[in-house]
Amino acid sequence: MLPLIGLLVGIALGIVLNIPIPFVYSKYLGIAVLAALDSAIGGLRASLEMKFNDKLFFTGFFSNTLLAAFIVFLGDRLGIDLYLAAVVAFGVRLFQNLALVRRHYFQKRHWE
Amino acid sequence: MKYFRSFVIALNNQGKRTQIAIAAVTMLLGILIVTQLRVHQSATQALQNATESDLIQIVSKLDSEINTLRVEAADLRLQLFKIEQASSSSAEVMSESSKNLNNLKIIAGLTAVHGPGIRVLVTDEDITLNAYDLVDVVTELRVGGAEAISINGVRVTAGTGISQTDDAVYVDQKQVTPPFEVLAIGNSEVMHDALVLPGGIRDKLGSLSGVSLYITKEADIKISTAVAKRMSNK
Repeated sequence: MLPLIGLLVGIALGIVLNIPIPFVYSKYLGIAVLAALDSAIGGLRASLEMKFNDKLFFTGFFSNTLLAAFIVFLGDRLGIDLYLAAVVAFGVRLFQNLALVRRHYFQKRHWE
Repeated sequence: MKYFRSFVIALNNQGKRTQIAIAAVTMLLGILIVTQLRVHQSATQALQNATESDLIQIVSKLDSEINTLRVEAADLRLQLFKIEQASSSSAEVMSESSKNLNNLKIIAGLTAVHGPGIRVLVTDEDITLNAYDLVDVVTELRVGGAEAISINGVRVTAGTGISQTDDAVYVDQKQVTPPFEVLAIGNSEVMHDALVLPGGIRDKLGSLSGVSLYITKEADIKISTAVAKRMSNK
């Protein structure tokens, strides 16, 4: 239940804080959203597989986000839509992790 | 539903650390999503919030921009067409370049030329004029659009030097003696006006003792090529 509560708290915080971000950086923000979503679902999957490691989880989250931001920055500088690489990578992982979570959901023996 | 409940229970049975970690990230996720949605909305609302007159202005501005760009494109297309045509007919190019060559030859004094122009006769009984006065006359004629100039039969081109040693005046190392006959081909009206301008060269030289300028417009003036010596020097 805690993750769901965390999400709700985050949404509430976002509404309350109303962080002003220039439109130019909305690309970075979008990538950050993807990275966070990827990490959340990846963590869910790892916890279902009983091999969750919080150190791995946090370092993965931050390094992925930083790398993605760097790729977006590089793409902006080079004039290539390099951020698509990050979008595709995160997207593929999202779907994979979701598929695995689904599998674990139906394979009761994993969590019963 | 049964599945779901046990699934949630299973998730809740995870270690506290696991739950807190994932919760932290999902909280961040929530903040990010809300912020991103807001940024995106405000960006799209920039046009939505514009008043009707603003929108009309924007549209008309873009329209006029499109029009000017269209005109430019048509112009460039026409230019391209012309260039293509010109390059296809090499005879045209040849005639164009030979015309250019002719003009350059006239400027360089390589060909004898004739045509309408003016004759300036400068008398100098007391030998008061020097080379600079002749240079002034030539300059005035050039300003008047002279295409070819000669002094006492010596062609004056861009590379001609007018110099002086003692009382003798030299044009391209050839001594010239008064009276000086300066011939110039070009628009005789303009050249005439350039010389007789109030306070101009005629007034200036005419005030010197023994000096007078006689300016006549001629229908056909002949000017020979530049000194043969220069051509043989090549």
